[in-house]
Amino acid sequence: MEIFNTKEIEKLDIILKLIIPNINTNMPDANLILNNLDINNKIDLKFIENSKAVCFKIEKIENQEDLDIFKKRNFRDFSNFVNSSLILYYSHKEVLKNLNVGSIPPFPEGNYVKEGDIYLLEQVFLKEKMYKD
Amino acid sequence: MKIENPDVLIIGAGAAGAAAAWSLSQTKLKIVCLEQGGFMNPDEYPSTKVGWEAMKYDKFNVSPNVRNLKSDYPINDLESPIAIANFNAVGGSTILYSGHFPRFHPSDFKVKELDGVADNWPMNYYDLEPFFNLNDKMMGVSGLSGDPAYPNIDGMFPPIPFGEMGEVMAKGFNKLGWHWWPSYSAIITREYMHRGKCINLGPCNMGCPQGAKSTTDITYWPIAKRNGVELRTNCRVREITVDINGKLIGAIYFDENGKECFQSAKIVLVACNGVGTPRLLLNSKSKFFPDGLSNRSGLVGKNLMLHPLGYVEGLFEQELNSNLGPHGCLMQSQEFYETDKSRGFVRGYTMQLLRGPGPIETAISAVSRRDIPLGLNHHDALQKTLGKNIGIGIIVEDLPEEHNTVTLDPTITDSNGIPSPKINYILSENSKKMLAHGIEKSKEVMIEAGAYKTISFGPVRNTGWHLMGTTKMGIDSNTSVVNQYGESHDVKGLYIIDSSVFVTSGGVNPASTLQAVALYICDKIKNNYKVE
Repeated sequence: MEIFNTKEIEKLDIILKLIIPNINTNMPDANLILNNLDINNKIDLKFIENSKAVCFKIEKIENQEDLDIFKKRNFRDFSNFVNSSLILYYSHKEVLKNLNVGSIPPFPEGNYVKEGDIYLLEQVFLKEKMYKD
Repeated sequence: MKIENPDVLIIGAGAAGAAAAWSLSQTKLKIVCLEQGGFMNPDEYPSTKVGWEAMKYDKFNVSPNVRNLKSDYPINDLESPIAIANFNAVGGSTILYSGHFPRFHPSDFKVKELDGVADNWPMNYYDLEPFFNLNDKMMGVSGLSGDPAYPNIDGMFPPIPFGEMGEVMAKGFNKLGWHWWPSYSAIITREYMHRGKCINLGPCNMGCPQGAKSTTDITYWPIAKRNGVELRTNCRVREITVDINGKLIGAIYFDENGKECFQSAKIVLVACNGVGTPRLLLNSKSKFFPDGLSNRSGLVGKNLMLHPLGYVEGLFEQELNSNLGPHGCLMQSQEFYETDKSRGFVRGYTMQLLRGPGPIETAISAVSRRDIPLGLNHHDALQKTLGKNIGIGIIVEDLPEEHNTVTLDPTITDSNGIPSPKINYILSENSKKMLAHGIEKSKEVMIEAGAYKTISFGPVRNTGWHLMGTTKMGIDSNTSVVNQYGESHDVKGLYIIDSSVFVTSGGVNPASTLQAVALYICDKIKNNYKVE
């Protein structure tokens, strides 16, 4: 069973490219999140629900102006849709890779964090007792 | 092996329950613990996966109402500006806590004496000090000795690295002449007790697959179980029961198959947190206790304290790699911890420095604030924020007020049909003033540290982790629920060992103190019952 019908896909493709376009960057358009949606995944399901709500209410979407009009009239729906889109977009392997935050899980490699200059504590060390007994 | 007739029944296997199970397991007492969740599988923690951050919006969400797992019970928190956060599993909320592990201060135990508000505790810091030290040893804590904001604390692992962002903030604090100190962290920086050291995975508040974060499923429980404690998982207690004479006899619970069971015990220790514990007592009604077990004072569920949290974020021009490393364990300032009445409020707060969030949270929060646009400039703006933002959480001391309550919701129940808790909570004027002060001071230090912009708000809604005060400890049975050793004034052998017994909330995360209190109470139990 298809998750979205043809009309919905057309609308979503335009909206997602308007929200996060690939303009002079190595970052992909947001419409990549339409691939590989899994209806058994709660986060994907939320996106699907929010997408369907937007598609149902938006009559015409050709450009930014159409999206702005929709957003003004349906702020809550639009906001929910954007949030669930951002969750899927910024957890996508390709996006994370190009964002330089890693396309591999944090575990087991871990991250390097500089030790930090502990000598900066000098003036705090010299403070009088601050707590009340 | 199943223990048929235990001496001790512990309800809840989280921070307090685990510490108690281990403490009492050093005796000949037969001990059973019932826990409504199961053991976590570290392989399934989000940071083992590429899309780790998305799981924060699903089964690793801080709210039981969003997670909606079988181990969770719904909490009606619509009439509170602060939503309740918890986790239900072996390890309890330590599974998702950030590991920030400061102790209460000596003044926190005597606010009536020092500031004329609330009540003094029936114990002081120095009574608890040996148990703080013991707990640090058992849990594994990193930090640095010599902090002028505390009596001396020794025996910790080296502190968590604070990195470029820590240096930037340290210089800001130093310019103002304010106190700061590396975090006391329940995260180990050296290998210890079969656990790996911290490798800066980052999202500690979504579980630690490395085992570096000190969660009680991997600290206390392995030893307690080896000492003979029976831990029954996926078992949810419905009520604690008394006989026809009002004497404690045990508890009724639902096992993992939903079958109703009875477990007898001579001593019952309740460790279900500041919401779960009053819920259980209020659900335990009988002829002797028509208003709920141990509720002759009428105080069960009252005086709920939540630590309203303010948040200030600073944006910096330079790359700080602020999105890397243990999120909640960087440094803290207690410059404004003790009362200074010229500030217009009593008691004080901790400024807890927080590393920056990951890309999803950065994008969602900045887009909603319109700091990052959608459309053509989205990516440029995100790159200017990610790794360059630093947060300060302002944890204000919440004073007890009887109108802040946990009661039973008249309609909502959990999957076993047990009435759910309902929260009614409002911020006091004192807390509001403290929040405003903390936000202004946090902005000041951010600017001094070089932030080109600050964003602030509070109280932050999804931060109700610190659940305290709902079965207050005290000497007078008319004004408290349990005595100075955690035993119910009304029911012999019934002990409450979690942060429900807190008389006041302090201005720091409560995990270290509640575990020390649990160990203190268990020490008294061992003495009272002359067990070896």
